Amino acid sequence: MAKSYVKKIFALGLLIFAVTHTSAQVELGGYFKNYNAVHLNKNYDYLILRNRLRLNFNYLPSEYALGYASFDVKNDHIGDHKDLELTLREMYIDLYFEHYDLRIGKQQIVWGEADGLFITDIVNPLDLREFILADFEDIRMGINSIKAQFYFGNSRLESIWIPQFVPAKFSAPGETWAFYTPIDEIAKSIPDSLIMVYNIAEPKKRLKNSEYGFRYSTHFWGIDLALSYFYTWDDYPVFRQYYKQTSNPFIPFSVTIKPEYDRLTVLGGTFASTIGPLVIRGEGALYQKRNFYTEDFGDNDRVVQKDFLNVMVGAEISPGDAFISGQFIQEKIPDYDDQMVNDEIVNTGTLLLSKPFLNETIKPEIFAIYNFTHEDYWVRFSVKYYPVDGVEIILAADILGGKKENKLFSQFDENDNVYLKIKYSF
Amino acid sequence: MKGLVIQITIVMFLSIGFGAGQDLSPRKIMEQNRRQMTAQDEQSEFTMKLINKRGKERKRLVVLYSKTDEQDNDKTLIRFLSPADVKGVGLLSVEDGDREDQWLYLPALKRVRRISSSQKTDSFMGSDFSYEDIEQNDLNDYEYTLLREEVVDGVECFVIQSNPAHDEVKKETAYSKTEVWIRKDNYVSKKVNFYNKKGDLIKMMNSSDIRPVDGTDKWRAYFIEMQNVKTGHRTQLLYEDIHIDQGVADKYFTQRYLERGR
Repeated sequence: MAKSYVKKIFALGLLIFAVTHTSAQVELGGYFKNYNAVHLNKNYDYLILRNRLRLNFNYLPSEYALGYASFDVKNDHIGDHKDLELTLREMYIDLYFEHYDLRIGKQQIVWGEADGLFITDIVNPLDLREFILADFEDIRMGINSIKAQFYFGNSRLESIWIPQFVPAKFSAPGETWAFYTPIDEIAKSIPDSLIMVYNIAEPKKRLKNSEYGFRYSTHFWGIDLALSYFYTWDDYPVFRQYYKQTSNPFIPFSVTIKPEYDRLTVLGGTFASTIGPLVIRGEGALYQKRNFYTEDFGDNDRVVQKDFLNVMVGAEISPGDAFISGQFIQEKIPDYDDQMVNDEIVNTGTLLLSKPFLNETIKPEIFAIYNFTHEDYWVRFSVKYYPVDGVEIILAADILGGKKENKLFSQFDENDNVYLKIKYSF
Repeated sequence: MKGLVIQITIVMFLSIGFGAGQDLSPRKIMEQNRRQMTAQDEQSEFTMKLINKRGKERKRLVVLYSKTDEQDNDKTLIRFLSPADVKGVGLLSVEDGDREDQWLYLPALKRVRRISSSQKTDSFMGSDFSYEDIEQNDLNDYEYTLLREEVVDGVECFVIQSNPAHDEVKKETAYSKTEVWIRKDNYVSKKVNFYNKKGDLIKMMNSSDIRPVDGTDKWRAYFIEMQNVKTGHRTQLLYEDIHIDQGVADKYFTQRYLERGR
């Protein structure tokens, strides 16, 4: 394994040398980041000791084309993923025509208006191995696709085709940021020996299993509007559960669990506008036939498919040089039945406050997200300092918790941490 | 906010066209200045240096495109070319009558965000300039008085004082008055002093390297410094390249171009 990475890094070094010495049209940029975090709840044990090198190449052969590649070399000295990790984040070509643009290759496709939420912004799978605490540019994973954008007046039509499904990444069971799953719930009442878990079945690499979508966006009278359609696979597996009676009177059931990915159709819409000094944003999505768990013993696999609504409205204002932003999010299952494990309605709010000082060299910031239904939260306090050009130093703390156990944020109650990031961009 | 940023080369320079007679009233001089400074389009590249009182510098290389259409609507695109951590960040402003749409592009997030127009008193890009220092004010919003004539750096100047003319402007502005030194030989401003509402001097602006822009009869200052008197912080603008009325294409003022990040 180590040898393979040495080879890859050697190849990357050769590539850097080659492109920077053979073509004046290639620009090399990126950053080096040192990231150290300690637990606040576990005797200040280290949570993360990490170095990351990001290399971005821009190749500019003409004003009608662009080639782009972004590599990431990450090395953790502690934690669950200590191997050297070399990732090709993105690699694509852009072709610019008079009325349309094409982007072909591994890329990030960003939709939506919400900050820090993924409602219609679901084209790229997410790397959730550190929950959603990582930088957003690191959470969203590049995906091989073709994007065509057609422009007419103030409007554009974007069409995307993703030939092969890529699922989200998660921490393995037992790791620091492992999500609480139905398997954990079942394991509370049934011994491990009577639980059989299949490997996750991914869709076969066939044309019919590709994903595609469209997004129409426009702006008029000071309003930005967008409508989207995305025929995709759910990036998160559903754990189908098949119960079988046993002869043991104390443990009446054994269970077979089959994790699978299912098709999903998502219809979305967004808007943004200003009212005086306020910016108003909104975003909504209808997920058709999404999988939910049920406690109905009559159900064959304990999974039901229901439509799911996810809606956000938000506002932001910048008094003085400060920035204040709030968002309210409601998730709803319209055709709800009482045996479903999920709540019918889940309400969440976010708040962001920041204000720069000393000509934007110091910027304290608070970001908070609170789930009113589950009564759990995540709060990040941070101070960003820019001592010289290209250098950013962040001292921050992440506090997670909640009254109810094993909810989205409260499941990581033990992972409160304080961290220092030092980033040099070049 | 009428006419964001293009006026970085307007109010700051307050350049007055040749032929303005010395017997003109301050108001007439301002009107002539406005007419002289009206350009169909402008493209410039400048370095913004932010210097704290200990002399520590931060630099931003910025390119700016601006254009005024037939309906007198301004469009502006500002793009950061360096340093690396802000490279590609762009701000697009498009006026449509009384409304102004603004979008910010952040390359790291690969996303265009609608933002609200900044308040007049907000800092412009973390500098010592506020938006009201660089935007084009309505001449009717101020009253002008010729205070005296004075020699600055060996050049004879008029000293004109501007005061808000009505309550609405008094409420919006951070200043009770400004004093502008205007050169007599070419009617370009040499210096501006800004006073807060208590009447204290808070900022001073000086311009130099004033010369005609190639291919036009317009004059511009290629070096401008704004100093915050209280904090000692300074912002310098060093223009490397200015093009006026050379035909800036409409494509620059679109979200499509904003997203290209270059």
